[in-house]
Amino acid sequence: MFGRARLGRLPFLSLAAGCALLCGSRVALAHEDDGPPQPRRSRAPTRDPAEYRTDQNGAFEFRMGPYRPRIDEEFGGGATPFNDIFGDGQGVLVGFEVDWQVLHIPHFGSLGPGVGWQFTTFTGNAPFADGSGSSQQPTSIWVMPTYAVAVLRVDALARDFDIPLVPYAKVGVAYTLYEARDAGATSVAADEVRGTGAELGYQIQGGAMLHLNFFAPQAGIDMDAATGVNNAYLFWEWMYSDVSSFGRGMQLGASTWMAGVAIEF
Amino acid sequence: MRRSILAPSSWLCVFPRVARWHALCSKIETMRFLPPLLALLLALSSLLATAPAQAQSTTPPTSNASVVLPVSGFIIRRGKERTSAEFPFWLNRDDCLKDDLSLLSPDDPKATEDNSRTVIEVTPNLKGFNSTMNLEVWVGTSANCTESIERRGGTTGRCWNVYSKAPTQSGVKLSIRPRQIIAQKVEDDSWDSPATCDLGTDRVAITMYLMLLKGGNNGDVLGTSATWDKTLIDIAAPQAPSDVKVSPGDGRLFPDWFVASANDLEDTFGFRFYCEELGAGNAVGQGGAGNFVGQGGGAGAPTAATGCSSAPGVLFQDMRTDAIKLRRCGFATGRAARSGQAAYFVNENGSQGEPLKNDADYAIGVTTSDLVFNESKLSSVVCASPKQVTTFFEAYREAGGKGGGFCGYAPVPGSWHLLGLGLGAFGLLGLRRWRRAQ
Repeated sequence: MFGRARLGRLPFLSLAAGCALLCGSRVALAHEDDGPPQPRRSRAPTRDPAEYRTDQNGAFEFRMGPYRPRIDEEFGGGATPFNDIFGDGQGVLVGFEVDWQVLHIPHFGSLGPGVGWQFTTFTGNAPFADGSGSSQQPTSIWVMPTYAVAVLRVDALARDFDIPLVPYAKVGVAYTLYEARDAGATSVAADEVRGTGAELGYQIQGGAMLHLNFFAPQAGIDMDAATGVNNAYLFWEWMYSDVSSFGRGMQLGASTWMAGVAIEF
Repeated sequence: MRRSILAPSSWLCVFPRVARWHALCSKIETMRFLPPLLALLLALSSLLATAPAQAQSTTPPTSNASVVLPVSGFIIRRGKERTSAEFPFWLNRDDCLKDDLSLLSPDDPKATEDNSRTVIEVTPNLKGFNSTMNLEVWVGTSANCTESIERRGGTTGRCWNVYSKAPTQSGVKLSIRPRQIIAQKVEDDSWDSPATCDLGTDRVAITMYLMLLKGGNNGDVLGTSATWDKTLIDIAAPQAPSDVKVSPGDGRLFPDWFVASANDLEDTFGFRFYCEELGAGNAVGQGGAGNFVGQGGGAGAPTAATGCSSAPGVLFQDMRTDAIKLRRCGFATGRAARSGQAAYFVNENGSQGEPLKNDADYAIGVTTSDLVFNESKLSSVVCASPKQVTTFFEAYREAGGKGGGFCGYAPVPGSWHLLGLGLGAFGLLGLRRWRRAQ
């Protein structure tokens, strides 16, 4: 009779133990410091995600956005050569950035240096010198902004509070190369100065990244295990730069936004 | 008393009878099919008897004569050699035109691209030949020229002879004229004229047979022969572009044109521009003297000078560019090109020559060139005058801009910020190590 009673209670005990295990694991996940944010879903992994994660040392961004250098600001409204030839539209700046996340600060974020490379070009038709209108002769300028910045990414929101946003800020040195071209060759002004050069300056960026792992945690873990990519993001930022060799050259800075995708690895 | 058919004795009687019937039937059937069978056997035997005879005519077992043609043994000598990417074994219209005995041999030190002949040099290796044999070169498009019936003249033969001579040495060098091949039927001397080059043959693959023959054209092929099948005849010139317009630029002209879809051929390689500077006071067109751009030189839109036909120059529509010496002034590569730029005349050696001058009057025409440099007739000729423009950088500098001149950049005084950046990086590294140690 005793044995029968014990056997009869076994399914209830098993159910209770299983429930406790699941609930316990969810609680443990929710308080994990270093694990990626986990949505409260029944399909969430039951093992500690930290077990799956590879080391995180850097970030890579593919970025693009509108860009129009503030060249005409050099003349204080007295002349607008850029606007006259290339119009008032925006170019599309495309590039990438690589960061080294030297320092990881628990419950705060990461800090480290980053370098970026971007490129765009503007093309227009050169006007006749006698003012009789615009010719079919192309005149253009390509601009290649590069920079070295200190990058601070605050990932505590995503890690500790399940908010899939990572605000960040960057500040550093900008170095922009350019070449003005005329019908397939480097432009040469009447004073024999060649239309090529590089300007130094600074830039500030601030924005936020949307943590994509939050929406597909298992895919994020699989990606990490398979490729070493810890996190994936979409980002949007505001960028301000002043690149005119501190007033001694062409003003290639801009105030614009950039967007793109980023990964941490 | 009737016997049952099931009785064993009746079976035993039937078997020999059936066997006899079968034997008889077989004989009858054999007799029926015997005549056609015999006829078939006779035909087969006759075929078998003639086959060795034919094989003997091309490769007699007793003859060890042979003709071998290595790839290096076939060269088309031209004033300007074509690279391997320029189909050097293909014959184009220029090869045909340059097959002129009055021109210099390409080996002549005085020969240039313009005054040298195009000659096909073939150097086969001969073995087992003797003085009774003839080395002959026959060309066909689809026929097998080793068969004597294809080498007969008139309407039956489909091959034509381009060389015939008794060999004297094993490494004999043959010179074959391109027109002999391009003409395709060489029965009289009518092929030897520039008119042959206007046949318009478009991409005909030919096979050249090098054979040792006994007894002339209709003789048997002795030993093994060599063939060459890497040559195509392509003397068809593409169609000229249409609707040519030209816009002036600073020391240059910008022609653009239209190509009808029917003329947009796969083998179009690009477009050539031919320019001619017109003398002062020769301005024609609606713009009148001093404004050769025509129609007042409207801003922006390409300007078509409609009055160029009276230009006293050498350019005129539908002319062949090889008819007289024209001056090239640009090229646009690519089948899809629909515009280009003419800034310099091109020298005979392909280098940049004299630049186009602002405010001078120029007539310009465009031709289409295919992959083997067959060139169309000249398009309609339009006129324009290069005019000074202001480029962005010129406008920028004129406005007082300080940029430009790559080496004009000077380090910013007090580059302490760079030092600070470096120190900051080192600081970060140190901090990270400290964190790890913790």
